[in-house]
Amino acid sequence: MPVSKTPPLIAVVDDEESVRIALRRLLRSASLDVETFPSGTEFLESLKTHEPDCVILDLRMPMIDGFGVQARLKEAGIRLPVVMITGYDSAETHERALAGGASACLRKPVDDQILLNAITTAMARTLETGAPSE
Amino acid sequence: MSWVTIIWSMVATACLTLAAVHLLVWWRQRKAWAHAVFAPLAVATTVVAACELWMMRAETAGEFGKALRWFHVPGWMLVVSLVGFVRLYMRAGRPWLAWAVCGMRTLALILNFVFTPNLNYREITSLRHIRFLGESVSVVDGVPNPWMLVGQTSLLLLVVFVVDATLTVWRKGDRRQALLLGGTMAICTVAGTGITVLSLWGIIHAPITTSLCFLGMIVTMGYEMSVDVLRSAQLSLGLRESEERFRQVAETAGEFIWEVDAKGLYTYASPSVEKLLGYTPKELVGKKHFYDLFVPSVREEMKAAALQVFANRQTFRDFPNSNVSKSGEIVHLETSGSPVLDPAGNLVGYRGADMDVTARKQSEEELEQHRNQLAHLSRVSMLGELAGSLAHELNQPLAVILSNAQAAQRFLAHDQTDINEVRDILADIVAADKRAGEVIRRLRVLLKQGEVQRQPLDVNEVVQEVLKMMRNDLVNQGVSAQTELAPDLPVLHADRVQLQQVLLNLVMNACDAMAGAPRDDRQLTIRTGLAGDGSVRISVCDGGAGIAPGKLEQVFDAFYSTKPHGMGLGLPVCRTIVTAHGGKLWATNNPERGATFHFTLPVNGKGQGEVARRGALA
Repeated sequence: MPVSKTPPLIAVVDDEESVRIALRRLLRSASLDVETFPSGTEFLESLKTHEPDCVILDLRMPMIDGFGVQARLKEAGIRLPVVMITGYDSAETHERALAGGASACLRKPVDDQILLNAITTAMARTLETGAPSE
Repeated sequence: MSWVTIIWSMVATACLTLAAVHLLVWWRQRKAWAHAVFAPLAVATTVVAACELWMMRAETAGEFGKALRWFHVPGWMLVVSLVGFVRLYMRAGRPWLAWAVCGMRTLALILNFVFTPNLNYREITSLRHIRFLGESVSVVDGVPNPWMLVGQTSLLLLVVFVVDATLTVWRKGDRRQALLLGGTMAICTVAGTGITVLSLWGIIHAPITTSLCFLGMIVTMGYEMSVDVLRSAQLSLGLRESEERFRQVAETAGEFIWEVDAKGLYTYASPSVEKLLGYTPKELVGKKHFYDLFVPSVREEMKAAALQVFANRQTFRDFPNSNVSKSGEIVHLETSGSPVLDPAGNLVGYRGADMDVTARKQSEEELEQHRNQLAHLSRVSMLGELAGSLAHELNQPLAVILSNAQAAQRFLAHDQTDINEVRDILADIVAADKRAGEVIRRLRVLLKQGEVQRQPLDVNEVVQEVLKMMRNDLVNQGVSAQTELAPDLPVLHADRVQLQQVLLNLVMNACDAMAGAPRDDRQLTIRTGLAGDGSVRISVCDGGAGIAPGKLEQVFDAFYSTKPHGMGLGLPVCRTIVTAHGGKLWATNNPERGATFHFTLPVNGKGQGEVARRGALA
């Protein structure tokens, strides 16, 4: 767990507003700070000003999908904890997400505890592996 | 024997024979009134001849006067029946002239019995004998009675009446009858009355020989009428032959041949009806209306439609109708018929034939059933392909519900309860739940193997619905979809599920066709609009590689597929669905790139298998 006093900032990227609102509520109920983005492009744009502590990425989105965002992050050399969520996935997409650097790939509907645990784990992992680069 | 006796007896006999013959004809054909009138005409001539003979043989002036007085009775009868004959047989002559002739003649007859010795003489002064045809006959001298003019006026009117009637017949175009009958009648009337008038006024000294002239007329009339009788005998023989021919055809034909009256009551039914409907002709003729056999559920409706056709006196062909046979089975017939009109153009009834199409109808229905089963199977397999998309559609609202509900639980657990927040959460849960329900409803409809239900629907709405179902797939495959929907399209009568199936298939095919194309080219366009023939056209246009020129038709063959896991049944099933709706499905290549699949659906919705309810056949 982060030791900073301010709660961690979690970014939610999903093309569907109802999902964004629901996830924001859930994360806020766990005392996390939340910012939401309707598309991958807008999220990548926001990284120019600040970086969140973790990003929850929807896999299927128009224009740039979850994999696309993952790839851009890698290209830009940004190491962010990524939790991928998807409405329907095959074993193949699951593996691809993990191979692309996501620390978890969860299927909707996702249980609160599992999601929160995945976020915690993702952030912890990035801290460990990412510490030398900082 | 003297010549006078021989000739006059022969005249009398000939006329009497003709009278008997035509009386007999009238007896057999009661409507032939001309024959009935001809008989008294001939009888009158007979009696006229007898009276003439009496006068020629008279011994005294008194006897002559008496014979001449009685001569007027057959004379009256002759004039009246001649007028009747002209009116009835030649259908000519002015009625007022006819009444005038008869009236004057009757007046003359009355006056004849008022005056002594008769109408013609005030007094007969002497009886003389003159030579006639080589023997001695009686003639008289006397003071003419001026009232005789009444009788002679009636004769003049008779001549005018006959000539006028003859001219009418001539003008009507029957020149033969005008010349032969009218001409003879006019000449005989003029000659017969002329000789009598001249001798009565003492201008010529000859016996009265009217009957000879009238014999000529009667023979001509008799000849004319015999020709008619002969012709009608030939006609009836021909009629009997054609009736026999019709009966044979009707009895050997497989079709049920019938006649009904203007109210639809059977007046004839061929024996083959028993094979078709189980009823014998006897059980139908005069007892049942054609609509009594219609299946009860549609009887009133079909009866109204049929009677409307009757009212318009239309000829109809292959009118489909369902009937109940005597044993209670449903028999599908196709009926053709044409109106029977009387000479005045009034509807007497209808005549036609029924063909049994039950077997054909059954196999059509079986075919329809198979088609629906195949369509269903293809739909189910198509849904398998769509599973990812549908799961996403369903998981999305489920995710919203779960996260919202758990967020609320956590708020409540931590005592951070903001009642407004909870209210919003609940509203969002309800909306998401409804959305999930809608997805499941759509899925259930597609999976259901129900009967085909043609219902009025808006094509544009179905297009939107299909795009909604496919949204995730489209997003996933990087396809951008556009619609160009014509507003105010007519309402179609089609099966919603099957129409969705066709569109889903075409959209999925379009996506597959564009899988290898650059992302910018992955454009899907669905267009709706009116086709030239009044049907609605729907086109699904992709930006893929297009179809090889020789294979535009082959893509509709069963088991033809370019996809590694394709069954090759999608398009053939789509085509049978569209064809069953009365429309067409075909493919074209676009000018730039890609292909377009078009299909049309007729606005009136008439297609095969309109009655595709399972178990419709009892």
